[in-house]
Amino acid sequence: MQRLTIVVLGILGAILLIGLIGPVSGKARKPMKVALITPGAISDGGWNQAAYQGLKKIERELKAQTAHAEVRAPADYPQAFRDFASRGFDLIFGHGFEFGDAALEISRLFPKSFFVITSGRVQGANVASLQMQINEPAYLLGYLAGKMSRTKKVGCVGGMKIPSVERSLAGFVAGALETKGKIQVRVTYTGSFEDVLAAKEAARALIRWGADFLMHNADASGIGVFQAASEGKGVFAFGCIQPQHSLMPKVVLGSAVADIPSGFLTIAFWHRDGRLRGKIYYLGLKEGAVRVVFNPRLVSQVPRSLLAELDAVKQKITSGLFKVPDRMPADLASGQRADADIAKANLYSF
Amino acid sequence: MQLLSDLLQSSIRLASPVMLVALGETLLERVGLLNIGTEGTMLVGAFVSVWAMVTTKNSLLAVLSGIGAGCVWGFLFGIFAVLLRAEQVIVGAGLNFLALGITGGLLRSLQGRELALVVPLLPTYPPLDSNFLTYCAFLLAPLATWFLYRLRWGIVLRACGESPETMVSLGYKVRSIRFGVTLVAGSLMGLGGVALALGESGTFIEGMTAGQGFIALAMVVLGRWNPFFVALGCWGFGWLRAIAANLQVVLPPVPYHLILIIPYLGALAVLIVAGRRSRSPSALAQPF
Repeated sequence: MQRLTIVVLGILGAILLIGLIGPVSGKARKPMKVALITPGAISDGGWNQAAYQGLKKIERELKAQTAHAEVRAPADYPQAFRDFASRGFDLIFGHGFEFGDAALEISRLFPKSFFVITSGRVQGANVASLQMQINEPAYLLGYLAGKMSRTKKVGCVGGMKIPSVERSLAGFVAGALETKGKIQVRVTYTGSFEDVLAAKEAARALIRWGADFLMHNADASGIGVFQAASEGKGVFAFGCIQPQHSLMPKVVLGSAVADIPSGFLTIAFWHRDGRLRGKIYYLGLKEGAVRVVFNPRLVSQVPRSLLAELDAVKQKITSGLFKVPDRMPADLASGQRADADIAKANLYSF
Repeated sequence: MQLLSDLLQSSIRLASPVMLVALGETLLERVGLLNIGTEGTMLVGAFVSVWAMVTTKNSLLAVLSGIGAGCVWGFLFGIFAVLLRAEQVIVGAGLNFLALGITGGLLRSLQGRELALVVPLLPTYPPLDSNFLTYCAFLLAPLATWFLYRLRWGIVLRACGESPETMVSLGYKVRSIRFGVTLVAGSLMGLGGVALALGESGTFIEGMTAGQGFIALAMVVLGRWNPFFVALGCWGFGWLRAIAANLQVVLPPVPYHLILIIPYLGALAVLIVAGRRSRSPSALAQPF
């Protein structure tokens, strides 16, 4: 018994020592401290993973000291910001519109930290928002789907109706409707970003209805949409946020990609140089922050003339002649506005 | 007709993972143990099976390792709940968090910079175009009912959940029996996770059970601790989920939240109607 006590105490002591030595030895000449708060797991192959890649990119390029926290319950948001700010983090990313209110609230108490909200609509003295215009590449994909669809039906599967999700799907819908080929569009939501089974059934329902092109923004569970597409005949799917064709090379024709890592890095550079302002930054096709990435194995299925047409549309967007909508058309906008929605939705999802 | 057969297939797909878990939990609650670690046990089963699939590329081995992982979680529950007589709800909750943390951490290190671990689905067989785990789930329900109500051992098992003291006085080793059932139940729950991951999803995602383990818990009550009715409840819930998924396509202007709550409203309605006469095993969740 006594020997056991000694061993346990020894282990505890060793852990304590490592803990004490760790931060001291890792200390360089006051590096920038950057923190990231994500609403979900960073292994999702989408929204949160991209943010984490951004954080790691900042760590490499700026030799910054970084930290990450996954915070799901809205009630914990202010505490998470407060925690990082009081530990002297210079730049704190809240990855999602839902963090906006908490960041505004806490930012007033910590003027030395800068808070950046992805896909947010908030701004303040030390609060900025980063809007990745994912609706722009999604518009191009929608346009492509509208032109290529044989059944003249296309569908979207979303996780929850939050601004970043609605933005991308709205772009896709607008693009599909733009082709004026009597295209019918349906948008459905599963209520979850992890429920693969629900996403798969939602996609199966769309395929049964006749859709032969499917867009998703259901984060990690989007793989269910790909699974359903691979069971259907002649059905293509599109990926979101990351180039997702590697997941299912036989059905994923292309992806609407948001280069969140580069967006984060740009923000971090601006902050270092003192150029970051408390405003909403819009980064789109023009800035190269978002783009369409095709699956090299399937791109041959797209007629060359259509690719040229897409290029022309893209030119119109980058030149500012055309602004891609970021809201659903009224007849597809099931339910009320999403702004107040997510807070409630998150309350019930642990 | 086409719609009906499609819905039937969807309902079966949606129901089978929950059904396996709910059957495991039914057996467990019948011997007087309440394990709310269903979600976590499913998760470890799902994760380990996908991991095994990635490393061995052998679906049989993958399924077996998923079952094994569930069994280990059942074993852990048995250690705390049966051997150490700990508060069962707390143990179950702890096992849920432990599973979420372990599977998430391991997934991140395994996945590295990849987007996801994608594995092939289990092969499907006619007439339902489903994998063999689905057939297992639907066969197990009547089997478990027969076992519980017709076999001597089933009656012994139920008696352990009603009055363990009496069983001890009759010379039965109640705690050993209970421990054995935790292993079986854990295996079934792990199998539910396998059905979810390998049977339908072809991948593992952190928290992919998305509350289905808790649905299984509710289904045990809804089915009045009778495996047959529990399975029926799971299947009905699957039907409602399948219908809800299709309703969104048919009725685009209706807020999706309203449609998504249909299965839950349905379960609640059944619970109110059928629950009045239901009675849980007397010794449920009491440390013994």
